[in-house]
Amino acid sequence: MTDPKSQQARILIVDDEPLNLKVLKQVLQDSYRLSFAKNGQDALELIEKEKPRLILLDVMMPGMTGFEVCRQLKRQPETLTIPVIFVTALADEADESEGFAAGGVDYINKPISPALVRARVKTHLSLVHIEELKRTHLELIQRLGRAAEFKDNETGLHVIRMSHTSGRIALQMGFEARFAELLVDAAPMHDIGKIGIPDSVLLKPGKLDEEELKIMRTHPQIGAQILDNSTSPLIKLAHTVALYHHEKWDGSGYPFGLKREEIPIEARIVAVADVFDALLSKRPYKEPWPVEKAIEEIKSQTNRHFDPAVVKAMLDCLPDLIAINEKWREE
Amino acid sequence: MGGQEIYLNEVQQYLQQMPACLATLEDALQSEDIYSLKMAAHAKKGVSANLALNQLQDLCDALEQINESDWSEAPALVTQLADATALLTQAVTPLLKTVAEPEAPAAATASTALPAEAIAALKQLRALAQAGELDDSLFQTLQHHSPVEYRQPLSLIAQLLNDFDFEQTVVHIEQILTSQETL
Repeated sequence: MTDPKSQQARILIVDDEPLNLKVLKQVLQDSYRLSFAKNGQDALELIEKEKPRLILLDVMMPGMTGFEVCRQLKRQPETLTIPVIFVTALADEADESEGFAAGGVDYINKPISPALVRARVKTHLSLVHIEELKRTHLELIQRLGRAAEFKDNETGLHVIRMSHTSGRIALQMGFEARFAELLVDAAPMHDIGKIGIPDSVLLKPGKLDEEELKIMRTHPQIGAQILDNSTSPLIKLAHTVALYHHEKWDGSGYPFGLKREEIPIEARIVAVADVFDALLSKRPYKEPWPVEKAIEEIKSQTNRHFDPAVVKAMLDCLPDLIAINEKWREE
Repeated sequence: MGGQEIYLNEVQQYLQQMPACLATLEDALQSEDIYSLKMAAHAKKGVSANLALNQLQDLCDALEQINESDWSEAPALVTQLADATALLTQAVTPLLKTVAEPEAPAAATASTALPAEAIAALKQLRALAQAGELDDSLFQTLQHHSPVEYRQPLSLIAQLLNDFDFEQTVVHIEQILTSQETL
């Protein structure tokens, strides 16, 4: 359809009084596509069918009240995120708190002021837009991580496990939950640079020769180039992880041969999580290792490949890490 | 329609609904049904507020706030509300253009076929009504393309849309569409 109306955001207006519906229609019809309902039941049916972007909801209606409609919407994942603004002639604080408890985002009092209604509607729609952008942003990042896996013998589940393992270790080390969550989202991109490695090297079944090894070892820098110059905290973190996750505690890693605390902590955490999960996984060249053997290997690399503090934290939360491994186990 | 005309139309509609509301309030007084009294007063409070009818809004608000201890004040408030409504009717009536009373609803039994444009508009209106939507200009297109004998069924649909009664709107549109098939 080329009808411009179809491009506008749909808003549902619910009120048992046609005159109130008419007033809001006058105020909003030029900017939005409007649907109307005169009772809670009709409203719920329309919401399921038409998925409005925002709902203006009267509180006192015969039958189902606006609060009850709102509570029902907040129980369903598909309607949970639709903002509900109560439009009401109540002027009681107790009612207001019930409305917010029911999941409403805002209140507009009758008599409505047209300018205020337009402003509130616009604000809440833009907040939804921001939420959508955040979700898309995260989704794109996860898909970018998946793109790298297509070129590798590792599976999608490996990056999920190693990123959750990284987040759990970060918490154990005393980092804030916010940082741990960010690390869970950033870690899937650690090998994104493998996109830039030729298949002849990346997918070579046998041992790599000196030249091929050199090429393979450029993947952290390629990844860093892909993720360079971002202002997003998430991408910045992913950039650091991608660039430094092959550095080793004793300075024998690449690309820069950094030592100890010269290596950013996020990369030291991801290094342990990545190797631990690889040991527990089946690869074309190896069977999965039992947990005890994997732990022995990690311990033996303490102070060599790995930061001892990270290894200690890993051992301290081992049951959770095993649970993560089981939750996303390969079929 | 200009802003003033829209407003007066809505006030007129409001006044048409008031007798029913006053009757509900009287019934509630008789049967000492405090809940029904409060609900009826609350519903009219919101509409009165939206139409900037402040005195009526205040009276409805006072009625809504009534509880068992001051129940004896309720009859006087209802009387005041009836008086205020009568005054408003007096004040507004000279401003209203004589709007034809909606004719009695009749089944669509027209014998002339509707032109294709009208049928298309009807189908679009039906789809919109199913989504709880209105389109005033589409309705005008429909009226414009419909023969005179459809005036009555269309004015019934207009009335239903005016009342946001989408379910009945769909029923009546379908009646007209079905009648077309047999023509």
